[in-house]
Amino acid sequence: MMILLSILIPMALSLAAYVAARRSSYLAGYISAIALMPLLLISAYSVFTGWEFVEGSFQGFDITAFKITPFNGVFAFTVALVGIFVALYSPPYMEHRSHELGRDSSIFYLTYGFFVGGLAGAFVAANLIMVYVFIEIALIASLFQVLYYGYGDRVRITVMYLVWSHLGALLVLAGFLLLYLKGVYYVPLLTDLKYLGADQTAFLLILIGSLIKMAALGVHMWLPYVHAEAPTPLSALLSPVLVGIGGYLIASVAMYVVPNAEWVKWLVYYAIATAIYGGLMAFLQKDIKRLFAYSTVSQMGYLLLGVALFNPHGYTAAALFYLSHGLGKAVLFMTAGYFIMYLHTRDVEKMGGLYGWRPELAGAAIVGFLNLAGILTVGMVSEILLTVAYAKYFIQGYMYYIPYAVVLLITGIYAFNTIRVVFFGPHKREDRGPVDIALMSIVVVAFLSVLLFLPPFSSALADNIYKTIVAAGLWK
Amino acid sequence: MIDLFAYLILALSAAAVVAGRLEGRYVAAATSAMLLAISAYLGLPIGVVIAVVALSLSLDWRMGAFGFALAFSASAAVLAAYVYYAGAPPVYGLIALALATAAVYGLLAMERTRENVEGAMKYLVFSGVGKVLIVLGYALAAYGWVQGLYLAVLGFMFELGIAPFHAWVVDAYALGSPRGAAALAAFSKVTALFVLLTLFRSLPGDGAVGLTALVVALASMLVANVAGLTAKTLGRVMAWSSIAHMSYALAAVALVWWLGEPATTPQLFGIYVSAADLAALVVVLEALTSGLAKAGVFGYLTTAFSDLLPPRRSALNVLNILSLLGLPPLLGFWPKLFLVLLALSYPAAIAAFLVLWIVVNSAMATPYYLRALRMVAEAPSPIADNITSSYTAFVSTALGLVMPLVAYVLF
Amino acid sequence: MEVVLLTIFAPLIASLISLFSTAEKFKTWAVTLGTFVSALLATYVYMSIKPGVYSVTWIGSIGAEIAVRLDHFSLPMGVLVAWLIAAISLYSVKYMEGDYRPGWYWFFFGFFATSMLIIVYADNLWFLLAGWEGVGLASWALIGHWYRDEYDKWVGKEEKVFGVPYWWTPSKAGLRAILTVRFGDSFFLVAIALFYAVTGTVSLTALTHAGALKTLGIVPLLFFALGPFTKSAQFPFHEWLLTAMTGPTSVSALIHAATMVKAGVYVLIVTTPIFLLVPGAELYFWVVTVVGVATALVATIIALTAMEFKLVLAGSTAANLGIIAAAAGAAGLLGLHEHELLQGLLFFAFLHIVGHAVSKASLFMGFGAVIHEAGTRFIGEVGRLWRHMKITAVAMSLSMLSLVGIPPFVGYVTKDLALENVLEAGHVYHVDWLAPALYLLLFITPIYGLRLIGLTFVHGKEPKEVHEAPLLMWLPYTALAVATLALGAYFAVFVKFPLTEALIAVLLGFLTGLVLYIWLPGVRSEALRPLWEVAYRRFYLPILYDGVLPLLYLWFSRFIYVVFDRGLFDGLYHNAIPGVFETLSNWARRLITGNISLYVLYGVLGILITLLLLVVL
Repeated sequence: MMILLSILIPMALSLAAYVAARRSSYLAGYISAIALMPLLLISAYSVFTGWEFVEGSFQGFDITAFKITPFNGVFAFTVALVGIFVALYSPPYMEHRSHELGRDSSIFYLTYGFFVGGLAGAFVAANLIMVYVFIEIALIASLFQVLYYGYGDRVRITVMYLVWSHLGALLVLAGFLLLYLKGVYYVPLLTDLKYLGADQTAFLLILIGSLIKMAALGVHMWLPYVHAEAPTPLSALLSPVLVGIGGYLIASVAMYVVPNAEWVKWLVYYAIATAIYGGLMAFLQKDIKRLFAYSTVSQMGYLLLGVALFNPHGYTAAALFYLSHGLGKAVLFMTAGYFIMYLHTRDVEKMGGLYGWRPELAGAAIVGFLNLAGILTVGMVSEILLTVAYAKYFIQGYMYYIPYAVVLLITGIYAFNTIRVVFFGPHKREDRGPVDIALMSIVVVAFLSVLLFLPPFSSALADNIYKTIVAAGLWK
Repeated sequence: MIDLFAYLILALSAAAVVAGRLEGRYVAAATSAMLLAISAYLGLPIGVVIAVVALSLSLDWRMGAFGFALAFSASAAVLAAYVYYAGAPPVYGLIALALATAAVYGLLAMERTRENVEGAMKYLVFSGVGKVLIVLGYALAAYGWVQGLYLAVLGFMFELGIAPFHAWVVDAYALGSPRGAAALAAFSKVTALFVLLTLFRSLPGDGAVGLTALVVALASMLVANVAGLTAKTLGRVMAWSSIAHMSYALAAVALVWWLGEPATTPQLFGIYVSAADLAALVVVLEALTSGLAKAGVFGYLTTAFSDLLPPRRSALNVLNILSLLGLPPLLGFWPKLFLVLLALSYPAAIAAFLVLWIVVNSAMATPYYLRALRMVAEAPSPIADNITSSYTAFVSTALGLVMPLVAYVLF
Repeated sequence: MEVVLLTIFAPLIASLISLFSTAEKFKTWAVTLGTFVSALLATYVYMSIKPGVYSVTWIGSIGAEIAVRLDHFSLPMGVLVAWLIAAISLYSVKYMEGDYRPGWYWFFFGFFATSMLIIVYADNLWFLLAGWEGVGLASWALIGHWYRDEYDKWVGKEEKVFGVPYWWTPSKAGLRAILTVRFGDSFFLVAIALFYAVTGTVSLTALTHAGALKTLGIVPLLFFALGPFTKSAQFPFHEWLLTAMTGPTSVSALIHAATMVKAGVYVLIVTTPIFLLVPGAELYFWVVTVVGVATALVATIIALTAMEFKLVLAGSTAANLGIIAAAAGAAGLLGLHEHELLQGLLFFAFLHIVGHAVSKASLFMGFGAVIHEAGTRFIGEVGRLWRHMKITAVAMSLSMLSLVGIPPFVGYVTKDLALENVLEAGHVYHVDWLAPALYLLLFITPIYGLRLIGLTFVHGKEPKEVHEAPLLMWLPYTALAVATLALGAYFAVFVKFPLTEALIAVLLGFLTGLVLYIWLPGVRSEALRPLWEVAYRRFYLPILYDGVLPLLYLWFSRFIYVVFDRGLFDGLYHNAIPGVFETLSNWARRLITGNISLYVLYGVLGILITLLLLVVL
């Protein structure tokens, strides 16, 4: 029951947060954060010690089957970690936003627990149908947040979000059902199943559904709008945490029925194209939240690449990318939210010289970008693993390394260019950014992403995930 | 045990003499309670669920003389369900259908406005045509004529409002009284679907008729979902939603008529079931989803007809609408899931096409459900949830949550 | 092992501690103390720890280890780097006093030091990569230290050439640096990953015997070399180094003398024995040699024509890096033939790192003091400083003589030894153009050196109020200037005192410089002006880096944005598809008119359709 409880507690306590939010957003934020502690503890224990938690019988069609291995544990760990800090971050922001909208923040906190709990559930549930159910719970919960606290044309954005996410989820479900007909009731990666044999239809359904979810090139159209217009604490969760589900599903389910090596190869090309595309588009954006949204598209290209390379290093890299991007992008979106709160702008061109405005913020944001660029943060571990996976895949095909290097360079270009435009240059403001719990959360998340790069943590992370993947034995 | 229903209906008819003197809601409440008892006695869970809808409606609203109509229509629905589950002669189902039509006609027109009467009248005409065709078709088919099945199916298309026979549905939902619309969804359509199931079980299938019905049903769900996208009022959104749901239900039956039992027996939660049973389950769940959720949505409207924005807010109906949208783990998710499962047990090409069609349709429907959701959730305060909306929302959620268990009970 | 790790991480630990106080004094002394601890420990390591490889596992699945390698390269390099950093740190105490961003400066100072020491001692390439990325990041941070982009921190004047701005603010210079380095690092990373994928190890010592390397071709080596090339500012990636002069002078000293750029050539040197194994290595070594020589020539000419104090020094750094790279490449080339010679030849290349570092650190700090005191960064705006800054003038002259390679200074010994490698390689491989190119290089070098000294200390317009630098500032660079002489003598005695025909070119250049800039107050020739212009504009390479490439990148992404993102995807998903559905929807909805006779018509039509279907299907 431990895993199930750790997912249900955030959902249950969200009711308490709902009541609390009518009095104080801060109280609601603390409740939401505390509610995620059990999940954080369980997943962290699994990730850092390599222990596997198993619940349910896995006999027949058992909907109470849950499992945490270091591989899916790192996803749940990210959800919990980011969830906690975003919850702590949210009160000042939600007060600001509620004030603007003339509506209290109770709906936000009511749905928050469901959203985060649903997300975590999707990663730790072993039953395929339950995975889908949790995805939809997360979708609906976040839907209300966009609808009630979003920016711009909220309704249109909500419809866009709902339609595309729902379509993606339904396609995934259809693929799951095909597996179900074969007697596969559980996420193959979490059971003893090996490669299941080619199944073109199921693979395509899950793949396309997941790609829509993770906003890969060509089906990314909804993401820049939704992530830019969502209330910023939600963006900080949506962008890194929700979209990554697609990558997880491809890795843990779709790849078990991938038809042949030719498909894998094209998926690799496609992933690279996504990464390049997102990076180029991010470079052009003037709205900082849209910029980060496109950067997410690019990072999803990395994640997809890790999965598509289809070897243990690639899988490990993908899981770690989820973590590093989760932390990095959370920092960045929270920074954007801080700007919205205290600078009242999202326009990059109106920024500049903000280092002096709040140096701690600048430092944290730089660490956030370093996570994306894979420099000396946990992002570097994932980048190294990804590169090794890439090298193992292509070995002597030297031509193929050039696009990969281009991907890294493009990420560096938008990352450092944005840092320069936002934080450096002549001062434009005289005042200073205030110190509040939002700023603290940003700094702590940034600090954690550096901490996880250091040996005892990064060693445990990378090696436990790697061992799990090798033991899963998708590769003969 | 069918005599229990006969006595009940006879008693109701006799009491109709004092209709003018008695507040009808008490009659309806008493009848619902009796239906509840009968269903419980007969071991008919569906009957219980339906009877409580009638009970909550009668507790919420003053019905006047139309309480009798409510009582009749609820009895008809429970009777139809009983006929199907008990394997009673299909004739009783046809009787239930007739009873439901007359009663719901009255309910739709109960506020006596011009709109009410117009909506009710359209319902009566087209539903009547449908009924005639069903009876005729059943008779012919029972006699051994293949064309009989075709006629009956045509009749159900009228009765259920499958495009292109759907025009009346929109007017009936939009213009009829909300209580009537609730009864239409929760009793009349449920009755019709159970009769469909009864015939489905008792008549031999026919490939050509099945295919025709399938094509029409698929086209109909597309038309409904597309048209719903720009529907402006709650009543109309619900109307298009109803057309779509009925199309899903018909598609399940038609698929089995067309292809018969598949080579690979489908399985449900790890247990093998026949395709016919699975299709029946889809129909039953679709009937419940649509009936419960719409009863909840219409059951809280205080207006004379539903072609307006809701005057008061409702929180619980959000759940009902999400159930209509088919979100797990709510009730509405399961019939779609089972329909997809059913389709997947047939050859890959057909399965893939059907699944894609259903998935695209479901996804396409989201914008208008979202609009309906906003209509009820963003209407002026205070919250006007009543017994009906609370009950239906509760059942939609609870049934959905325990569906893996309920599935066994419903067989 | 622990001592070495402490040597490496002492500055970083100090940096982290410095973050916890807002007091500038505390930050300053904490980090300075850290660097001195590190320097002392490095000396201790040099003296008393047995050479060898010490390691603990980091990430097993990619063969990452925290491994230190103590050998004849890393031990002296460690001492050199640590002491230079300590000296520069001491100098910064005064130089950076009252700066508006002390926290940033001191944090990255220690971070820089640690990163560089990682590169020096690392045996495992992943561990090395951590330091490698660290120096890149730290250099970016410190080059852009004065993030407010004030005019007096720029490189260049506010003028445009062919529409491309020819001035570089600190933030822009930082961006240029990190992006250039990032370009090389991407390939560097790929190459290391390839080594791991092929051999299963990335330990430098293990790779030396890894037979599996034979399956690789030259391409991975070139990928690898792009890392050192960009980091060490080899042509055509030398541009960032020149604009890196926007950073505080102490940072320039750090980058040029002890860290960052030296990391590149250092890695080239230590990997040479490994790459000998790879088939096609000869071509690789030629590439390194030729790039090195080209860099040296180009950068020397830039140094000759630069109009800013620091730019001259920057050009000279690039030139010397070119020489070191060429020497390393040449050592590899010669090592292909006579394997036992390799280590000796590589050591010559390595020695020039030492020789150059000592001279350059001193020069930067000295000219930093000049800029600090005189308040200008342009040559010609102040002059005759020897009257006011006697110590500095003497120290600078000594260091400059060493830098441009006048015997008996250390610069002469090490540079000549390094160039001997190249000349020998040219001789063995019968490449005739190498020798003349090198003589030309040697000839020009003293001229730019004396030009800088002459125009700063001897001639020019005298400023009113200039004081000698404070003790804390002049002590480090004067000590280093003296060290150039001492080290020169030491190397001459214990290693080798080279005496070749190259000396003639140097002396000729020295005489020319002496006449032109010390005896005469400099010459200006209108006839040479177009040539000067080309060199002054740094061969117009900035137009490529600041004009063409960014514009191409911008236009390309705009094109994709407009055509695909806005046009195709937005158009399709947000206009076309919703539009189609809306039209269809309205159409389907409007069929419901409320007119019952129409409904009957639909019904009849429907019946006909079903009949038709029944017949057809």
